[in-house]
Amino acid sequence: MKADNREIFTSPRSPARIGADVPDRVGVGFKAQHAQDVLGRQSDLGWFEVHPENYMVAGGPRHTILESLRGMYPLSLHGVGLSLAGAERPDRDHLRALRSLIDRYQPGLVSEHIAWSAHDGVFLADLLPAPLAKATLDQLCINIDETQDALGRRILIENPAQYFLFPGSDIPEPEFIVEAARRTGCGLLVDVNNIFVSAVNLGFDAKDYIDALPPELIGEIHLAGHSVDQVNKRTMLIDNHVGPVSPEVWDLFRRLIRRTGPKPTLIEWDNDIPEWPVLYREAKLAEAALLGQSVPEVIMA
Amino acid sequence: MSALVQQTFETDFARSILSSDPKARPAMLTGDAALRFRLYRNNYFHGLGQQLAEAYPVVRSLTGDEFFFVIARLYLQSHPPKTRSLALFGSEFPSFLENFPPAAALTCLPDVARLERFWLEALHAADAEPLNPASLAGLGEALATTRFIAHPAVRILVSQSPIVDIWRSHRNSDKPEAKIGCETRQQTALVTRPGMRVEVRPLSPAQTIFATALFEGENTNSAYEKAFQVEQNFDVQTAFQELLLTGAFAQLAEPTNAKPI
Repeated sequence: MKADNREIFTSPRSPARIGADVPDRVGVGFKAQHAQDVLGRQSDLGWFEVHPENYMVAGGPRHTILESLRGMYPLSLHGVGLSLAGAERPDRDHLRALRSLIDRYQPGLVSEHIAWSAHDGVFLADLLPAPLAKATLDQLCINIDETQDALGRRILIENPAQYFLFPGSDIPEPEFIVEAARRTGCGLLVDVNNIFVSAVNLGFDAKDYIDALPPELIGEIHLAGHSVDQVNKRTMLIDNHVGPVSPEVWDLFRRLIRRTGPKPTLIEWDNDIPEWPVLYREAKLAEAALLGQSVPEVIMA
Repeated sequence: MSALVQQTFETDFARSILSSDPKARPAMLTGDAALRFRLYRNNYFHGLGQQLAEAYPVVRSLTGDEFFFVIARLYLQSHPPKTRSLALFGSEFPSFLENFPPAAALTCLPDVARLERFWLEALHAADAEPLNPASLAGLGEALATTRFIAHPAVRILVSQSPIVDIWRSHRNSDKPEAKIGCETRQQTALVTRPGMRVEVRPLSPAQTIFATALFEGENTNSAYEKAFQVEQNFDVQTAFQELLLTGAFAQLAEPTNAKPI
């Protein structure tokens, strides 16, 4: 996050805020470089999402900007640091920091990844893989319970992007995540791009995965771009949130929402971040799909 | 895989990422999985290398990109993040550079890193309104015995290099000829954040002593006497006004000789 030119956002502690509930509309992952575009005038967007870890600082411009954003839109906090699928219990200091952000910003949604990222006091700053097996599931559920207790609310958990079949994995992924949600009462954040990436990399049918998800458990949907790589002469997809959503992922998204109806849907674009109008247009495409309009018509308009 | 096996795997995975051997792999991953492990390794060094580069742009400008990312890689191997928030990642980078012989020729590098670190700390420091100069208006002679509470963002760096000049020349210009390299000339940097923008300014040796004494809670008179000892012509009024206007103080402290009410 670049830190210059922040004088325009010197509004004091936010006065009135709009409601906390995240609507069944399209939202966008908020990026610092879009601050002027986003805060300069109200856009026709449903909500915004941020990583809470970026706001775990005492004061300064990040909070000023987030206060302004929260004054204009409902907010979702999408964590990357809880390490829920790790062998260790959630870090108490991190839970406290997250709780205080939740108390301050009143987000409509709070989510985390089914991944591990920290071990023995070291944070590896990535979403790392774990086997889809009973021991992982048991530990994941303990960690979700502890998190929901500490935060005093329900969270959503996101399906991972898999790059290889993890040794010892013996539970199909849809079954694994649905079971975690059923046991803990948490909801699912369905990342359609991750499903497609994993399906290509591991060789399963993404449509079967999509069709196996119970609509009532789904609290949020993620859409993002990926890139195509060659490893050892085999095609491999990398979930790097670069570029627009791929045609295959749009198809899977439409397949999913035909069954679930509209759900809060996020456009994630985290690398090679485009100018705001490009991202905004991607969000409007998703909203057209969400409302059942055909995408080409919207592009023509 | 049992919970204990998962623990062991995570230890092995973390060690393999941080290993200086580029071929290191977790023992549990074989075949395709072993090949694809490099993705995670690359992510770690690329992602955090960028994070470090964003936090230390002038260090990067002084070393050049190639050398910077070599140094970053070694730092990331020995100093992985300890907290889940990376907003203040890289706290040990200045002391790492201090003890890094390959960069010893760039004598100002550790202090440049310290200044960039102070800049980042100031940016994220707790919010506080700077002391309003008007609140001193009625003090009269009591100003001499007044003490101040420093603003939470205030940092002061005494350097043997012209640290502010170097820092400014790299931040403000893309022209190589405008950039100042390391040289020996003492300068102090004062870092403040009066609003949402961080300010960096140079202080003379006497101003440094004056400001440091005030930040440590000494009263105005005592701070002045210390500064006077190093500079007989010390302009206390200008020095004091500059501190006030750049937001160095948050509020007045209780006077040392306050009479009980």
